[in-house]
Amino acid sequence: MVRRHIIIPSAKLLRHSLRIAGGHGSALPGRIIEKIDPRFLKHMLAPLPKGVVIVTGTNGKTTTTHMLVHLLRAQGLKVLTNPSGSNLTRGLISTIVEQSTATGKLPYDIAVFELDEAYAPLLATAVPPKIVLALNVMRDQLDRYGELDTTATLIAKAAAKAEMVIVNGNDALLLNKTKDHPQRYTFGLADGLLSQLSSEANLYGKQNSTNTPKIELNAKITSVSSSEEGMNYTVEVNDKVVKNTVPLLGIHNVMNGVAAVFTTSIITSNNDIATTSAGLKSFHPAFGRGETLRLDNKELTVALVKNPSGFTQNLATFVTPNIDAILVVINDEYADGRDVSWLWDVQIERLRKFKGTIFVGGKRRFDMALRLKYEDIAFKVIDTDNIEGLMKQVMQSKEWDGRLLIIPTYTAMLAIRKWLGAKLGGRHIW
Amino acid sequence: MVKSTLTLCHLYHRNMNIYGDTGNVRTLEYRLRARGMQAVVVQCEVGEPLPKDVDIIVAGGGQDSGQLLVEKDLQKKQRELTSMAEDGVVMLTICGTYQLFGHRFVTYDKQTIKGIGIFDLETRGSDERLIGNVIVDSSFGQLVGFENHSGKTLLGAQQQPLGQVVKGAGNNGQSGEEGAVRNNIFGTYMHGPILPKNPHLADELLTRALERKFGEVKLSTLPDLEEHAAAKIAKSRPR
Repeated sequence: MVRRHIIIPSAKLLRHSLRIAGGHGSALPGRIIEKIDPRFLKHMLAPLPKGVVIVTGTNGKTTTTHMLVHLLRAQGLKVLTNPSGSNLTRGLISTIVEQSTATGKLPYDIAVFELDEAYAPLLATAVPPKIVLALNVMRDQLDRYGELDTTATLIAKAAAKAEMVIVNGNDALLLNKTKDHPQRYTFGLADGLLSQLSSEANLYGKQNSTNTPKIELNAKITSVSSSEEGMNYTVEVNDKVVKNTVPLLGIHNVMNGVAAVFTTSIITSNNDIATTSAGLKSFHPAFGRGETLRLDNKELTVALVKNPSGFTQNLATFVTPNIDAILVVINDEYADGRDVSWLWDVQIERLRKFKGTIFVGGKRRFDMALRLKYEDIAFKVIDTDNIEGLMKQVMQSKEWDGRLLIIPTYTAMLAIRKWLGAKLGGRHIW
Repeated sequence: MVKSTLTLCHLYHRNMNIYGDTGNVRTLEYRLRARGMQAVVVQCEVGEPLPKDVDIIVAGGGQDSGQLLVEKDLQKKQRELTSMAEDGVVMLTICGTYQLFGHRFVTYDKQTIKGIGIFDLETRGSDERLIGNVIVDSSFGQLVGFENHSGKTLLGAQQQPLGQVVKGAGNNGQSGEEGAVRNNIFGTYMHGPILPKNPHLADELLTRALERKFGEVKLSTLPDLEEHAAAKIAKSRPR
């Protein structure tokens, strides 16, 4: 106890001084505390009355985490969560330090953490979670974690430590790896809707999409359609049928929304799914998930991509007749994944019918250009590493007017967010 | 016969294509098309017969589970593939299929997966993953790619490597060698995929296949602006 009292104020001080120095003080204090007291996470998180929830999987973590936090807060809970992007336990520790009281307590009811597949089992081992919410396993940055099987095994390892696991019932790999869990719940699409998901079967040799075990879904999505407000859907939970809208485009976001609603109902023991669901309508997505911003009489829609399935799904969702030009920005920084070979698994042929200009930028712009070139799709490379220069050229281009769809990788998205923020007068735009 | 069509066999696309190796097929198709020729691409999956009169076989890397499926099927195709190899059919094998074109793969937990012995090499599983950008000097020019493997490959005494490692780990992180070449058979750990950013290697494969089929061939030069720019940037990136 004495040790902890000393550690927290000094970490806060350290973080404060890093901020003053102008650095991004997110990882360093965490690293130092981890060295001082390996039981730190458990000491801090175990006392939370409603425990810890880990949201993990390849695609949709940030959106689902934000939805879940939004819904839990609407139910009156005080929720601790980690900022998007700090997917590491160290970033987590920094969050805990910042949010704790001077006596080393967390004034919260529950913690909801977004963690990637490698870090989820580490946290789950340190602090057995109440719930692991496992969204999907798809190819993503394999240069970091190896293979899909490995990734699914890591998630299963985290799930095994949890009191409950809530898992995507359409994901064969995850279903198989979690089948022995004593308290498992599933959400997903009814069979008739599965064809609307961009097919992993075409990307991964059907290893993760056919032979899905036949199970009764606890939360089953039975209809989906898009509208001005987002996606309208119908879900069946325990024989109750609920109609609702999630204010985002794409069938995958219906799955994310239903996962968040279902998890909320379990945490709060609230069987009124209709009321819980209604909370989704006031949800605002994180930056880069398909919202549209106005700038210089033009409209920009930003749709982050991290892997082939997400990229293909974004093309299916966002390339509509309303889009006048597309800008694809591919970086290969550590957070993007150094390997860009995944671009060749994107169903880029979906762009063949697109009539507008396709601009290509980012560090690995020529890799993207080759992907388009060999499909006989016209493109225009903006030959600069500088995001500001790139955005300026695209915005001033005479080749388009109206609405631009921007498809960036993670670090490109961060740079574009920064650029847009400055353009829009320093306003927070996420 | 008109000197214009090559038959490409894309072997095990379903089970052995996790790192975008399909890009190699797209590249060969494109480079024939750009010269007024064409490729007929035939997919050959586990359990399916190899197509007749193949000029080029392209096979990629996969997951361990894919590799196990492919192992048994490759044994059934061993005689036919070996005779094709003797007959000069051009083959490009990447990562997992490169390993299985050797004698054997001994996994980290000491299981032996049989290969088909077209290359004189064997691979041992390790607990270390060799990941990152790779640059290799080969007799076909400098090559750039991305490696991602935990198997370490040891070449037999007579087995020629594809090239010497300039940056990266290569076959095993020790020998300084990358890949293997025997007659018209190429094996490498380089994804990326390898052919789009190494058009000179793509043209080497095409020239060999065209000459075998039609006699002497001189491929016209393509501008390859994006190809060279992509390779230059890839070579400048951190490991």
